[in-house]
Amino acid sequence: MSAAKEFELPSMPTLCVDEHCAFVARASESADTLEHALTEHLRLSGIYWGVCAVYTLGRLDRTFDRAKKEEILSYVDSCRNENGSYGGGVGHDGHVLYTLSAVQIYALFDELSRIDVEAVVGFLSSMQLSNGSFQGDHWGEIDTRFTYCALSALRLLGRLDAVDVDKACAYINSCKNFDGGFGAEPGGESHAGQVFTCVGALAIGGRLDYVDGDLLGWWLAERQVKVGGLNGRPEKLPDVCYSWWVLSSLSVLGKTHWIDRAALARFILKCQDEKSGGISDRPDDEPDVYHTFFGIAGLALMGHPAVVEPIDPVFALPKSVLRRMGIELSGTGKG
Amino acid sequence: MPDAHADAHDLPSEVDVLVQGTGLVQSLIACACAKRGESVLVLDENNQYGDAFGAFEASTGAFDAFTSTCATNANTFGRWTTDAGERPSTRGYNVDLCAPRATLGADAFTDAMIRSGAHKYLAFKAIEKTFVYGQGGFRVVASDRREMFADASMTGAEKRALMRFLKRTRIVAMRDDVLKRRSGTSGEETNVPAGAPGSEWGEGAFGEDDAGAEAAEALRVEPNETMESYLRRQGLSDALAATVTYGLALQTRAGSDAGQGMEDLKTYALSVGKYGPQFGACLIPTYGTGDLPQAFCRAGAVSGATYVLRQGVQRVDIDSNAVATVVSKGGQEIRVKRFVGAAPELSDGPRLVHVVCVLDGPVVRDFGEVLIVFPPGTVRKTQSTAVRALQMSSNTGCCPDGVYLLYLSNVVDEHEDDAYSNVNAALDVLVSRSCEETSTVASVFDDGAQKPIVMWGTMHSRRCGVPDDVECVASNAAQCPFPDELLTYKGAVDAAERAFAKLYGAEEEMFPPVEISTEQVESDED
Amino acid sequence: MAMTEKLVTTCPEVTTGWNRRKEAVELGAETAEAARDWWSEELRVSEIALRNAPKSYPSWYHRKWTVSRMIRTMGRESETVRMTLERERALCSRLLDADDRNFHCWAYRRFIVQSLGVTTEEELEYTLKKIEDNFSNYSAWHQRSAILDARGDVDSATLKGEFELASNAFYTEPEDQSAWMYHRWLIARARALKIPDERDAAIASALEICREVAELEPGCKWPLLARASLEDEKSRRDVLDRLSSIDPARVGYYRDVA
Repeated sequence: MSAAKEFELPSMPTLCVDEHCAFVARASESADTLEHALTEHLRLSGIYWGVCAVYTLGRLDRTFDRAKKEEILSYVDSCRNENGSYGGGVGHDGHVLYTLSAVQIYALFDELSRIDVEAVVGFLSSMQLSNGSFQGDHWGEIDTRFTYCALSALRLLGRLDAVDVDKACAYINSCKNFDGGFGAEPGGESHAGQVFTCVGALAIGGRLDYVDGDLLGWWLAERQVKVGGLNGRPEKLPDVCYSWWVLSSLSVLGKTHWIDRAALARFILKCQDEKSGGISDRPDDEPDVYHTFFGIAGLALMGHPAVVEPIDPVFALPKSVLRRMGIELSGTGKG
Repeated sequence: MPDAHADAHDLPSEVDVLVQGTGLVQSLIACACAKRGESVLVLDENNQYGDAFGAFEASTGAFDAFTSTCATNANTFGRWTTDAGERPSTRGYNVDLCAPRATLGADAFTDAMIRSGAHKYLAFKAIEKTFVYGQGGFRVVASDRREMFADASMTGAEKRALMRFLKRTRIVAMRDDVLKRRSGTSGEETNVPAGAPGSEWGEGAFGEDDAGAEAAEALRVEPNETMESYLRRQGLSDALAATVTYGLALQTRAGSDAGQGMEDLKTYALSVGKYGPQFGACLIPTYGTGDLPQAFCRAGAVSGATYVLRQGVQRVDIDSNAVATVVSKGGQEIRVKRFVGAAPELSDGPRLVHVVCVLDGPVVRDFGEVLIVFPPGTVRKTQSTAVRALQMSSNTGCCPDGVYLLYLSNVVDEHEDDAYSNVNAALDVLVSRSCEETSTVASVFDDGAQKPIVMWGTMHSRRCGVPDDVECVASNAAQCPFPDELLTYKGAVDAAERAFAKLYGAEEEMFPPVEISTEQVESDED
Repeated sequence: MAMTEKLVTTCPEVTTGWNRRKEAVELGAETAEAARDWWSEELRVSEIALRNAPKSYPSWYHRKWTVSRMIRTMGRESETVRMTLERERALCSRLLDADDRNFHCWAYRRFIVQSLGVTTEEELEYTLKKIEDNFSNYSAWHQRSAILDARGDVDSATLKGEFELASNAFYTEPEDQSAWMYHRWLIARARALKIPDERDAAIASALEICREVAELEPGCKWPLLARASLEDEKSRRDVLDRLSSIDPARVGYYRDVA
């Protein structure tokens, strides 16, 4: 069964494209709300989620006019720190996480020329430690998420050569667990979000041979619960964001058909706020930009016809953006 | 407590309801009448509340006095063992007359406490573990999946069978509960939160699929089936069937009816974890059972009922088939619209034996409150009814630190001596009754410890059962029974409801439902 | 510091706030004596933050940073450090009692017990206690596997006990996947046993239990899934067919591995 055909099933709700774009547009305006103040420290990630969501829906230009685009880009510019890193918001310390967000936003708007590549590469490469792992900033927190962020950003900038990729991949491999999944550090419990970052990092590093595809694929497939949604760990509740973390990993492994995609799509669509737009973690919860993006991105991986821009499961960017940048696509096999 | 020292001349000359005695059944009715706005006068000839449901401080000698006057064949055994050979201070004891007793978190009595507001004056401790005796040893009764997982006495297949059966029971119990509340006159909203404590017996919510109907079908009881044969039909081994019948469904008699047993088991299933995770089904009131009638008296007093101790009923005058006047022992005549009489001494019916012991240590180490059940045929071949034992620590406020209370009870239909033999045989399993034995007798609980010694103990018995209402000819009067053979107070609520229905009509609810959140109950109960 | 305390306790996700505190500590903690006060202050503040948001990455890291600093400056043998580490271990136990799946706390606990030099046996005992409290706790099963793997090859006697523990869970509740996941790891370890007789016996007894559970619970997929990895080729095919029919969501997986 082709993926798109599943969305023609009579019981499938429609994706509220207009409403979601309006939701994202509203979220980028409401600078004076409490939520805005509370999320200031990860504004760059928020922008990436929102921009990427409307991009995949083919509505980038309709959602953000030229002036708004420029406003967003200069905001990103102003998040840059002296050492080449980007903070989550203006005045916030630089961090690997938000440095990737910045690169992704510039890539989405085709404005990579605004980046001081050498400075960013300098920062990211200085974050790698002697065992191959990456710290998030100079305070020393180590997490496999940071490895992914650094490798992804460096690859987007065409500068993977600046770090020891083999060592980085070997470190990721040391975080592998008996269930085939990966944790944040050696010994850490497998977690679907962490699995995405580790599989993504290994894909970028060309070391997917470290992954036991059948074992991990099975563990990921078991994340699907009765109601169709996916959870992040065994015996936990489903959450829309895992639609992305789990499905993108399965996609890289070429095994998205190991779950019931129609049931997952139905779950995501049930989490839409059909009136005011946005997608929430579970049905009837409050929507936010984060779940809106990961819900749409999950639908994109399943070939939902309304998500007009196919998305790359490794870089979490539209394939057309990567093509424009001359980066070979990483989706494999049946996924 | 309400002012209970009114002199005889303070008594009103006319009341709506006069209640004789402050036993639990009377206290329930008096409270319910007062809450309806009736003028209620309660006369009790004793020095304290509770009648046969009361508790006594051992120091006052009231316990000895009571057991010797109102119970037949009371005797004492054991001795206080101190170096001086003196009886030590017995302050700090609250010794119940009708123990062992416990209430289930989801049973009719707990419901009555909450609806009447009596629970505000009470605190509870959970029974931590239940053991069932058989084949010379004890089995822990696993009531939730945590205990089931920890239980090494069952084979894998036994575990599976029991878990599946209990899970179905809980699903059906929740379904019944919801259906009852929906169809009930109360209009009370269903209150079964998904994932609530105890939901390990099944999904928190039912009805999403046919699980409820399927489980109900699987659990169907055949007519005339006994509980134990029913459980064997459900795939449980003989030993497990006995464990469930007597340790969870809390049945008393061999060959008891499966229909009733399943009703009781469902109540148990709903009670597990109701007031917090890992909180067992059975609750015992701190300061003992004697606090229960007092709590209802307080709730009644709040609604205007008057309670008078040391003042009994001398005579009841009946006029054209109805009680018209009650004469107090002080000689005062009181005109009444309704009358609730104390339990009459019964000349036949089952005989219920109670044992109270003070022990120098626990029967089951590492636990305070423990229920131990000896199913029929386990301590004596001719034993036809379960012997129940309840260990209580100072946690309950019923005895001082360092010593333990042990209650036993057994009911027999005929030969009274059988009951004494049954409880004696059970006692021999649990405790040693002389100091000399101690060095040699090891506990049957496989903990390497020695049996505790009985420092003081007493046995008493009385007939129990429901007084035949036909004998109570007056149309505006009802009679209350003595404590029955059950572990729970369910019989007391049933009796009170029957009496209430006779006085006010079957359509009247004794305690109309109140809005109360689970949180409130929780904080009140522990 | 008062300002950042307010910031990090009300909005603990703001890494920058924590960073300002770290800078202040580094400046202030010049002498060991002064440092001690700074560190206990950081432990106090991050505990408040964690009580409000027990899953905050930056708060957990700040705590780990503080304790690491202490260890580096004063040495593991210092009485103050040992007392702090013991307190931290107790804090972890408390937080894991409140939420036994908090993976931040499990990770921090690994750091603490490693720093304390807690024995493998003692930590295994802890995971057993957590599993006995709630055998759906996959985090505890995971931790158990990690400890056993870190200790070296898992011998057949250990495996026997672990198989019993896992099967105890699925006899109690066969639909709970945590123990089955662990079971899959046990099978892999049984296959790695060096003595062929021990290996065959372990696999045979695992298979026997799975067959019994599958018979007791014909509608449950987990014992069949385990059998799929244990049975011979023909039975395996039957088992996978059966799995496809009772677990249609993952039919693609069953087909691919057939």
